Amino acid sequence: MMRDRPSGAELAALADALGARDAEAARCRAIEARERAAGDDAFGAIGTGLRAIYGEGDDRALLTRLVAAIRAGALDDGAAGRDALATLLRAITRQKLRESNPGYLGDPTPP
Amino acid sequence: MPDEQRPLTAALSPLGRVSDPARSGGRVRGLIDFIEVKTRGSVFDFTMTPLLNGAVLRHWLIEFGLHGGRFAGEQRWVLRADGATPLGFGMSRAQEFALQRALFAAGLRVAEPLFMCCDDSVIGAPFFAMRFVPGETDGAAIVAAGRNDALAAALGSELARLHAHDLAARLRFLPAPPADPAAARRAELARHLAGDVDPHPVAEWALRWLERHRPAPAQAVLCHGDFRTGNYLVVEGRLAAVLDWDFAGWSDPDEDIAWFCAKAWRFGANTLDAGGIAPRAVFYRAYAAAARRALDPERIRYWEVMAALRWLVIALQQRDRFLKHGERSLDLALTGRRVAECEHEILALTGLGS
Repeated sequence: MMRDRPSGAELAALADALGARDAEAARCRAIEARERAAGDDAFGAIGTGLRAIYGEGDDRALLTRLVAAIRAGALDDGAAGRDALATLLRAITRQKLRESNPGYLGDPTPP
Repeated sequence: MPDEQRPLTAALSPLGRVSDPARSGGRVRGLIDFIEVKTRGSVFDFTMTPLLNGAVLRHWLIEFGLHGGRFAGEQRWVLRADGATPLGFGMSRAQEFALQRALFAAGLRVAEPLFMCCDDSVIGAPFFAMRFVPGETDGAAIVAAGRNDALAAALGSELARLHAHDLAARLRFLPAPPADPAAARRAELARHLAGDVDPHPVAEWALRWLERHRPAPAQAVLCHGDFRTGNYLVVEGRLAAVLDWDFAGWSDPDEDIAWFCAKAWRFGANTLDAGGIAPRAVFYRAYAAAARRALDPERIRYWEVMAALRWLVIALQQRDRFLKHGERSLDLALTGRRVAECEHEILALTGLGS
């Protein structure tokens, strides 16, 4: 759930269905490979961090609570726990980028 | 559906170049009839070639000769038609045609619009024809050509000219100018996000930040709405024309400036903030000189946060064209995965990056 859609599997399936072999198809398959390599636990520590703040729940429930907290000012200057939330947001975003576009982070870029 | 009844906008691209109307099942015949009625000439040697299409609209180059009429001689036109799935915002082709006519008449660097066709039966969707302007539009290719201060300055000056023109009387079809452009844009993006099925914490943070840092309202001017590398034509390093006016409307002029400088439109040349072609100071100086107003970097940063959020919303909409509407396009599907890039930029611009 923390990953954006289309998932890597959906992207690779589309590339296969279209019989595509171009750079975009390569990107689709690379995203799928990176997600598979990272595994389901890639966002595990982030989920643990969110549960420590918002209690038990699946990823969707935790992110929904996070959205409500942000709307209520949890990230505003001086808010208690702001740094911890900002760290979690950065971690989510960076992990998503590692899988969808590592070059954006300055990492060596496979297609 | 019989082949000859399929809409041309959907059916022609896979066919590639069409040079024989009879062999193409008569689908081009309606277009030729339209041209002959409009020009009062007789078409010969007609060819029609799909151009590299944008994510929203479709384009063809048509080349032909005309006997008689006011366009007699060799012609090269571009047709611009609706895509298969509307994005949900942006103006109609008829409105865009009217806008482009007003801009051309005002002396701005746009392709000359020629004829509007609202009849779906001609090629399957409304379209307009404009004169072909040769040049490079591919953003990656333009950026790959290297730093080009003169081009950035020309774009800055051209944008200032657009913002200075008073075309309100000719553009009454546009939604009325907002009293507070920032509030209006933020509200529009909030509406789109509220309709999305997934929670987006960074986008929510952007909305919050934009609300709490809203600048004093600017006088709304006519803005391009998608002024960026990839939406202008370059010939031998020089600006030939500004394209793709379908997102134009009344807004804060700083919105166009920020959109041009947004990281998403630098095509990887991130040290050249102004569209990947020059340092932003070059672009700013040219704009400020032509507009006779100083630019406020903080206001532009505000609008760059808005730009990142707007691009995030567009990425979600492109994703939905694949996930919900079944458009089997790798480009659309991959655009959905660019949301994280927007989130990274939002965090950086709002002081939460690392």
